[in-house]
Amino acid sequence: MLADHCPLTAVREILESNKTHNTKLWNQLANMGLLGAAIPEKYGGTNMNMLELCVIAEELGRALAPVPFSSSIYVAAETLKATQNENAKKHWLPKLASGEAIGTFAFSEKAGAPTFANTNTAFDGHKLSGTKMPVPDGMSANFVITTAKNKKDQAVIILADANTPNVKRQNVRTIDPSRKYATITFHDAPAEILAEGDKAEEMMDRILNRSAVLFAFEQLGGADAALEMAQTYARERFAFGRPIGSFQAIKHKLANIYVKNQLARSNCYYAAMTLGSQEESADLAIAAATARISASDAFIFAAQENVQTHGGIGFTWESDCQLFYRRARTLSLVIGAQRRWKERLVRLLEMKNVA
Amino acid sequence: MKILVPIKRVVDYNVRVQVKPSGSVDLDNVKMSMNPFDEIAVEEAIRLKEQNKAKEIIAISIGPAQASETIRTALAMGADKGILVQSPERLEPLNVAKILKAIADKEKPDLIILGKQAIDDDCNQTGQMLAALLNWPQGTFASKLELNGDSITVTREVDGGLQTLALKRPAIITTDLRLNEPRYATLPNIMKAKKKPIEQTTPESYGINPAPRLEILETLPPKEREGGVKVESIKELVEKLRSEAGIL
Repeated sequence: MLADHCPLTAVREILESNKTHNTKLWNQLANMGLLGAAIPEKYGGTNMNMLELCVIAEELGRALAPVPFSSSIYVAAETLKATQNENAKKHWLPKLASGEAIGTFAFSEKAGAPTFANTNTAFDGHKLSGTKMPVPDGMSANFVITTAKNKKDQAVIILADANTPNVKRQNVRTIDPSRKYATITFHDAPAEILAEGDKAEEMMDRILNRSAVLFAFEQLGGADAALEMAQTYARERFAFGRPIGSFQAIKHKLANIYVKNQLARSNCYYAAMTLGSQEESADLAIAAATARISASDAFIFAAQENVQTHGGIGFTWESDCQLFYRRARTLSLVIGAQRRWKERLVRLLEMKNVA
Repeated sequence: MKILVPIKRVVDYNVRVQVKPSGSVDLDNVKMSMNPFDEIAVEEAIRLKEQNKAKEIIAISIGPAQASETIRTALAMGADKGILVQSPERLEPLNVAKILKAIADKEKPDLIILGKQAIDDDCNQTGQMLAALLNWPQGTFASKLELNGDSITVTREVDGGLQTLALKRPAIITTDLRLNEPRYATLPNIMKAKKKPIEQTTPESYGINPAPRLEILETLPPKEREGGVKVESIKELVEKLRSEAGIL
C-alpha cells in the first residue's frame, strides 16, 4: 500500500509545498484500520498488540511517510490510553482511531532537554499559558498533549484543544519540511489534566519509553531504505567500466551501514519484546533507550553515507538522498536528542547495577 | 447468489524469478502472493456482494498447505469462506478444472469468477476448461461485468476492441486486468479473517488423480540481451536486418 500511495515523489511534494501532510495517505491509513491498531476496541480501535504497531512504524519509516502518525499515535494515543481521564479517552481516542482528529505532543519550549524542570508553561487548574516549540505536526493537530506546572509548581500533563482562539500557532522552518513543525502559544487556553504530580512524572516516563521504541522502528525502516537506495545506485552506476559498488571505498561504506542497521534491528526487536509483553517489563526503559540510541545512530549514518555513495548527484536538490538525511536528523531530535537518551541509558544502567 | 472464486498461490509479481543450475525455478525464500488476476476476481465478487447481488463468496485454492495464507488474504478482503484442496503435486489446468467442477457440483454456485491466467505458468486454460466440463456459458477476459437478474453482460477485451456478450446464469467469468482495482485488506478485516472457516480437502476426495500429464524437460532463463551496434547508414541497417537478423 505504501509502495503504491507513498513513493518518494509524494514525500517531495510535501517538502516543496505548504501542505501539512499527505491527506490521501492519511485517509488510506485510517480506512485500513492502521491508526487504531493498538487502540482498545471500546474506543474504536482493533486492540492489537504493540508489536503490530512496531511493524507499521517500521514500514512508515521505510516510506518516509509524510503523515502525522508518530505524533498522533505513538505519543497522543499512547498518552490517552494511560490516563485516568475517561472523558478525554472517550472523546479523543475514537477520533484518533478513525483519523478524524490528529493529536500531537508539545514537550519542548526551547533548546535543551524537554524536562519538567525546563518547563515554564503554567496551568492554573483550568487554563493553560505558555509557548511550546518546535511542535511536530503542530499546524495540523486538533489537540495538543503538553507538559506544564500547576500552582504548586508540580508537574502536570495537559490536553488542550488546538482549535480555540486562545491557541495561536505559527509554522517553524526546520531541516525537514516534509514534516511540518509549529510554535504553539497558549493564552489562557482551556485545557484538562491527564496526570498530575508524581503520576505525571510516571506517565512521562511511560510515554517516553513506549514512543522511543516506536520511533526507533520508524528510524530503522528509514535506515534500511537508505541502505537499499545506496546499494541499488552502487550496482547501477559504472565508473572505469565497473559498478562503483565493486570499489572498496563504497563496499565498506555499505557494509558499515548494514552492520549499524543490524545492531539497531536487534535492539529494536528486544525493545519490542519488552513493549509487547502483557505486564510492563522492568527492562523496558533500558531496552527503549538502547533501541532509540542505536536506531538514531543507524539512520543518520545510513542517510549521510547514502549521500556519499551517490557522489555529486547526492548533494543536489533533484536527488532523493536529501529526503532521508532530513528525516534522519529531525527524527533523532523528537522526544529528546541522542545525548539525552545516552544520559538516560547510563543513569538507568547505574541504577540497575546499584540494585 | 453464491460465487466461487478460485485463487492461486504464485510467486509475487515483484520477484525476479531465478532458475537454479539444476534446471528448476528457485522458490526458496521467495515471496508468494495471490495471483493478481485472481485478486481482481475476488474484488469483483466482493463488489457484487456489496451491491447486494451476491450473498456468499467462497474462495478456493488448490496447492500446498501454505495456500491457506492466500485464502486468508481473500477472506480478509471480504470472502466468506475458504476451501483448501491440498495437493503437493504440480497441477495442470485440466486437473484444476476437474477439481473445481467437483466443488461446483457440490456447492452449486451461480457464478464462478477466475483470473484469466496465472502469472507463473501463463496457461490461460482453467476457466475455459471448467466451462466446458460444466457445460456453462463463459465470458473470458472480462473488463466489465453487469448482473441483471439471471442475465449477465460481459464486456471482453479482444484484439480488435471490445466485445459484449450476454450470458445466462450459472456462468464462468475470467477477469482481465482492467476489470477493477483490488482493495487492500483492512486491519479489522484481517483480524476477522482469522476466524472465518477454511474447509480442507484433497483431490483424491473428489476422485481425481492430480498427477501431471506433462513432463517439464528443461527450464531456462531468458537469453541475456547482447550489446547493440551503431550502423553508418540506412543501407547498412537494411542489409543487417536482412542478412543477420533475418527480419526482412
